[in-house]
Amino acid sequence: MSFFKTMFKPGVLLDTFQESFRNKMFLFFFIVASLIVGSIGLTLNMDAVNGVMRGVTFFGSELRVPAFTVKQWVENFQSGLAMVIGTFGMFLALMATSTLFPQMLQKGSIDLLLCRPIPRWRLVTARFVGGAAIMAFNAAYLFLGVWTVLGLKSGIWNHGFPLSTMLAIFAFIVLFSVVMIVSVMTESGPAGLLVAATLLMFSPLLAAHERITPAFSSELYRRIFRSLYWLLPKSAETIGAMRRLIMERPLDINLVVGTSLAFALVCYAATVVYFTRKDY
Amino acid sequence: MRFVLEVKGLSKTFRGWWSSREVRALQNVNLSVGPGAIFGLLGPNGAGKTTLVKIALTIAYPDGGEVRLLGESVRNRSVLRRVGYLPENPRFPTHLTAWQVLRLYGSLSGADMNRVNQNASKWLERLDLAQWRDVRVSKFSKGMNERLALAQALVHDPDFIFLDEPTDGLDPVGRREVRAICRELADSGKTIFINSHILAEIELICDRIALMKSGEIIEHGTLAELTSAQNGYELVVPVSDELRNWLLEKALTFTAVDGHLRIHVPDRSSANSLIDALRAKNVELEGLAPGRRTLESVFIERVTE
Repeated sequence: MSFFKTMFKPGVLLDTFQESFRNKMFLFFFIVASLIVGSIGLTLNMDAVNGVMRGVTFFGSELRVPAFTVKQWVENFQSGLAMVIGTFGMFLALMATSTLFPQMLQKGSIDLLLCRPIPRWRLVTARFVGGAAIMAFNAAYLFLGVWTVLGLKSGIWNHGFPLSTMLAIFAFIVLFSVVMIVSVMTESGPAGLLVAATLLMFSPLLAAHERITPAFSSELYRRIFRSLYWLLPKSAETIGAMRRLIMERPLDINLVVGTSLAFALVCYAATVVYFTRKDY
Repeated sequence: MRFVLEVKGLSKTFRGWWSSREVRALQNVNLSVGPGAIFGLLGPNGAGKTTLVKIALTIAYPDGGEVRLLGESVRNRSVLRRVGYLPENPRFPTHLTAWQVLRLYGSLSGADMNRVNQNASKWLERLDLAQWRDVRVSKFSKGMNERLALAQALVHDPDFIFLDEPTDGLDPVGRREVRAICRELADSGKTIFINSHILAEIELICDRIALMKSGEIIEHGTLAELTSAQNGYELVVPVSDELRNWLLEKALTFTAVDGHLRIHVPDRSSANSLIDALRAKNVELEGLAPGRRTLESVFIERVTE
């Protein structure tokens, strides 16, 4: 029983949280999210008549608004914000968390962890869960904050927006698994970030494989490109699904989520196998 | 005798991922350490000392052989709850305070947290870190870091403690304190395994010593056993110019230390002849003892063979 308790000590998980607090990573994202929520709450003014937008000012400047209904305007604003968070915010989140594994693996630091009665898979999993939880908290805080403020201002409570947080977190977890495997194998944070960012930037191209592949001169290239589409995580489509969810459009993401999840699980399993067998 | 550390036929070869270069770090190493001992593993850099310790702690894995700690194979990781480790160049999470470091590693070792808290206070006090308890370790000097590393190795009250270069970075007072702590722990029944290339430290505190070279144990025993190999005799007499000249004439080797001459002779018959000659010259003998090698001379002799 006591051995069981030892196996599930939350030390590394808590240490990951503490580390993110102390190195200001958590604080940075929390402040950025608070600024976004606060600036929308304090400086966004909507002028609506009978449910139709007449004008919007943001930081005192008038935003040009086509003749949208309030509902359409809120949905467009939310989906635009979700796209920015899904790309730029995603990159920042990956950059911030890319140091978590290399820091743990530093000589003199890893020795102090591996000499404990804790299985190695627990160490790497705790680190992964810690990093993902920090970003999930910040994403949920930002999305729920924006949703609440916009809801209070407009009276429009679009449930797709808070639900899309799940997709943003999922997209982050998939790419974070790439950061994990690369940075555990290379012991380099920048290498993990580079590979994950490349996949993020390359994913819109892969998502457009049906339009792109006919232009290829060889069947071999077409097959390679299609295989890459099925093998690699579908970050662009996951982020695109956030937009569809917010706009209340039909959503069929089983394949996108399924294959991306399978990719993340393979990354996780490969990391655990590598980390468990490696000499430090 | 029941041993608390048993190393049987341990082998380890490091291979590069991309090159065919191989480093044979350990070659069929056999070693055993009894309970309550302070055991010193000596060897030049690259001898395989740290690899041996890392395998014992499952930080690295052997190619062959087995390590048993406290009667259990280290493949059963639960035994590590009773083991402490001070690594060479320890690095703590810089965002933690000394107190948090001790609590973190105590908790990871599976110890009861009440006991960890008590031990943390005790060791911070003992290692002169009590006033730094709530200061982040990023502000610590190398010596303070080393003392904190010793505290984390002891905070969960382990029965077996590996210390890798424990006095590295400490001043003479700190070194003496570490030696005193090691002796107290051994007297209370705990076993200490020290990895070092600082011969003076090993000589001062270790009950048993093993010499390691190129991944093999080449010598082991007590300090007396290692240094008392047949090495002639040493006679001590008062210093005088007349005697000094006479010894030079006879081509006898001697050293002048603190107003005395220490004369070295190769065997018992030479010692007796010299005593007769000295007595005939009315020289008073002040001491006679079998010649002892120093640990340093043994070390250099064995590792350069």
